[in-house]
Amino acid sequence: MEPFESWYAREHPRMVATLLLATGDLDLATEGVDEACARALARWERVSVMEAPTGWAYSVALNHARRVARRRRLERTLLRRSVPQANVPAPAGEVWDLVAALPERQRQVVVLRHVADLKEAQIASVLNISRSTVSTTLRDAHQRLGSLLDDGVEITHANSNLDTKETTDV
Amino acid sequence: MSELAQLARPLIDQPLVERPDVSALRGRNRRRHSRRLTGLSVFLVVALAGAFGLTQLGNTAHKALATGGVHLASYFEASINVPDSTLAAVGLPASVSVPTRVTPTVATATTNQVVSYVGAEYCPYCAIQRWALLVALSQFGTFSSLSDQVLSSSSQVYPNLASWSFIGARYTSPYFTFDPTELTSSVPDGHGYYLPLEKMSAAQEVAYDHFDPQGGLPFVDLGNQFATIGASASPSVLEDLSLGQIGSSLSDPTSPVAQAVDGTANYLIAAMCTMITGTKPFICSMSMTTQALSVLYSGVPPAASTSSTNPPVQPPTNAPMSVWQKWSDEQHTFWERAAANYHRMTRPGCAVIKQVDVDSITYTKTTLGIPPGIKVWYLSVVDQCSHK
Repeated sequence: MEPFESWYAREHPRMVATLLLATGDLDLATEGVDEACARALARWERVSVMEAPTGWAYSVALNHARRVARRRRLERTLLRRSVPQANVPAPAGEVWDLVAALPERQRQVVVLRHVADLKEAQIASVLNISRSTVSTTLRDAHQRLGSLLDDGVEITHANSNLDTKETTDV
Repeated sequence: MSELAQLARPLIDQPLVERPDVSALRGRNRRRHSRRLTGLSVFLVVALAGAFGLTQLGNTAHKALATGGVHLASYFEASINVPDSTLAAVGLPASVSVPTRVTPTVATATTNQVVSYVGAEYCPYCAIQRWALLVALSQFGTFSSLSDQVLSSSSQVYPNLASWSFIGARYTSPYFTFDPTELTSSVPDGHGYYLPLEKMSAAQEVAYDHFDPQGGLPFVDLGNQFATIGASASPSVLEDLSLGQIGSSLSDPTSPVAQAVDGTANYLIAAMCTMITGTKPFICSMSMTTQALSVLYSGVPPAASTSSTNPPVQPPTNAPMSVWQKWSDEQHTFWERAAANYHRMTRPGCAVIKQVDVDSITYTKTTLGIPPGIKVWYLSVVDQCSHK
């Protein structure tokens, strides 16, 4: 079993970068990743023997970031608080400029594939969608971003299912 | 590798944020667990209130919960069951320092609903502040676990005071979270320090650095509204007493222990009441609490203290400069006397003291309620730690 510390040291920077590009908000990304890593630490005996511990962590991080974002929106509505603008500092800015125009689901799939380096099956598990939906989404993103995504990505044809769902945390 | 992956590579190689320590993750888990318990406590309290009526529940619910099914040592039971009448009889002794009113900032916002304690097992000042915290916190929630006895350092002033460690303490309250940190043990590590125990959580460290820039112990942050730095009363009242003797003295309002501990607790209770939104427990409406609240907000203590064992009480920020100057002079006299009498002084993590001097600092803007231009005197301690 890999020690938590080594997994944490290896995966944390990539997770923050992925969440940053998926959400466009560094605070949100940090909050999501910290929460996921804290939960992974608390359950490491179970998480470490999963087929893809990192995929599980991405799932928790994205769900938590989504919950925090939802709470912020609610606070903005109820308390009329000002909401921070997208917080994407350089050098993330130029990458963000490239993916910002993508619809949220496409952006999530793209960064999970190309930044987090997850396989399509893992992305499907993280986002709780079918693998064929992942492929379709990647294909659509490929049409938008063109050569930026050229790495021999496997693309299959399937029905599109872009509903946003929350996966279940451990 | 795709071009997008290459563009994102610098984000991974040169992370934008520092990776939190594993201990910070543990603290996060602890706080989440505590929040869940708090939510459960709120649910239980609401359910009980519905069943038995809010008026009957008011004053006694937390004490009923405190003893329900949990067996703490008798001296802890004595602390969590100090009668309201004793607290009222003790009132606000002049020998007890008034907590400082502080201003929360955006940086400290995450601990606005947290009672935070930073201390160390070797520290005699922490010993007495722990007792007061136990009395005060027990008015708002339940301790279900407290560790065994520890003695403060044998090589410090007020040696071998009987106290305990907050390590392993479990506290639940429907009103706020309690986050204690004991930085070191009372066991010297052979290099002039004490063996380390816990690290502060990231949020706790932000508040500690902000409100306690001198790094004094113990530090108690009450929701970023009020803070105490150092002991609020002299630890001398605990000298030569066992845990049992201290516990039993807490319910005798005439005892020096009760005057110091319960008197401090009265201020802490009032400060904790300010953290509660919505329905407050009965203790918050008691006269000594409302008096303490008045003192907390005005900064004017009930009577001037000329004690030789406590530094002079800090005047309110808006007091005339002549009052501040008098306070500064009294403070100088107090610390000069203390430096002459104290052969060894407490300093976080250091066991060997070489020299004690009295120095002053003058702020250029209002800091911790002290206006600019006023000399604030303090003890300057030279020890092994300075050279490590």
